[in-house]
Amino acid sequence: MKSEEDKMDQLDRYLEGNMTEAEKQLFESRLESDSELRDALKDHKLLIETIESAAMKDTLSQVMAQQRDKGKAGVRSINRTWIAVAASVVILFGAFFFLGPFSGGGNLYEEYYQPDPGLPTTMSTESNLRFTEAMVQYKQGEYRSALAEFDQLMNDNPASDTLLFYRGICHMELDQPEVSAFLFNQISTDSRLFGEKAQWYRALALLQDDNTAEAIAALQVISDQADHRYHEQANTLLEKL
Amino acid sequence: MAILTMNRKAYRTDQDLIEGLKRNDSKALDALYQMSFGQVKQWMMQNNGSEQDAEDIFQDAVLAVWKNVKEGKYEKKNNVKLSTYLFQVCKFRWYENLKSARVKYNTKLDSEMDVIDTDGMNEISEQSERVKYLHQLFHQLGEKCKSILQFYYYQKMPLAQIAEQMGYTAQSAKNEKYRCMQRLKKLHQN
Repeated sequence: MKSEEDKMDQLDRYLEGNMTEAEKQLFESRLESDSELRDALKDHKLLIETIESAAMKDTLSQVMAQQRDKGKAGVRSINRTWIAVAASVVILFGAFFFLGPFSGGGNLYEEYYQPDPGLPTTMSTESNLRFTEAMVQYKQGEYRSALAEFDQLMNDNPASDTLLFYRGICHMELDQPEVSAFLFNQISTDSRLFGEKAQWYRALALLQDDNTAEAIAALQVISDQADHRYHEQANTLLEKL
Repeated sequence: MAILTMNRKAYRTDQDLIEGLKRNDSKALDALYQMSFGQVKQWMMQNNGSEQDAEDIFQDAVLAVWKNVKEGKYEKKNNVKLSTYLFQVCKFRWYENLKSARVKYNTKLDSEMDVIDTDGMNEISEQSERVKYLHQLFHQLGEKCKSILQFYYYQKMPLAQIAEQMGYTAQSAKNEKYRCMQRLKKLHQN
């Protein structure tokens, strides 16, 4: 008399194709005559289907989450059209900035936002070659690839205000303002190069994210400091909110 | 394990992909995603969908297609490329979704749907519902049972290796596997 475990073992070996030819023939002839065995096989298949379906759904969720993160980090290549569009968007933003805010229509964040022009990339030493490359991509409006590079550099230099700042701008360009606000918030207000800039762009990112209440609070902080380099802009923007 | 080290480049043809899906290889899912998701997302965005909608629909569709591949039903759809088939399934699912939500969709979508071979599409919808049902059922099991059953039936890991990994003797691993299958059977009967 076979134990229940052994019976299940036999079903497994049949489904896995691990039976010898003779064994298989015997099993299949029994299947024809033994309805109990047929039911057992059917039940067993249902259980396996359950396990595989559940695991497959979980695996797919994981795969998609990973791919999504990779996409955010810019590993996925972007096509030339996209770059061209991004570049023209940058030019448009620039034009709005110089022509002054247009009235009506578009939202305030779009009126006030233009990406930071970036840092000079002419002088590069071996050690910051990668940063230079990233900066070149940034300036060309290739924010996805730039971001991927900046993120890599971040691993070696987690506290760099420069990296925090430009990653923040990239995320704004990629329409992920909540990430930008989070990054800008980590930059110390004392940072000579980026402290005040980060405060301003954080306010814009909050606006982009439709978080008007926090944006106003952030702008108020800037407006309260008469010598803040974005003092005037913060004031005029506050009036419109 | 050979399956784990196989890289994406191995998935060059539909036949490779189908074999991969049959083996439950996550790299095949990866390849499918890279091949099709962008296209699906773009189309969804043009048809009242959000990025989240695109992800939901795509996930549903991949699972349904995977099931059809597993059950040999896909191969019967002779000469339809896997990516084409997957895209059609996504379109159909989204179309159904819009219809049931009574969202205003453009008539362009209507005419597009006319071209799709809707034969077997209702079965597809049933397949994705079925996966969701089986998924929640399986997750009612305890962690140990889920692990041992996934290792054996999903990852096709030999029992000896599972025993080693989970700290069982060969015999107790076999007993555990049996016990967990019985539990799962109970869940189905409830």
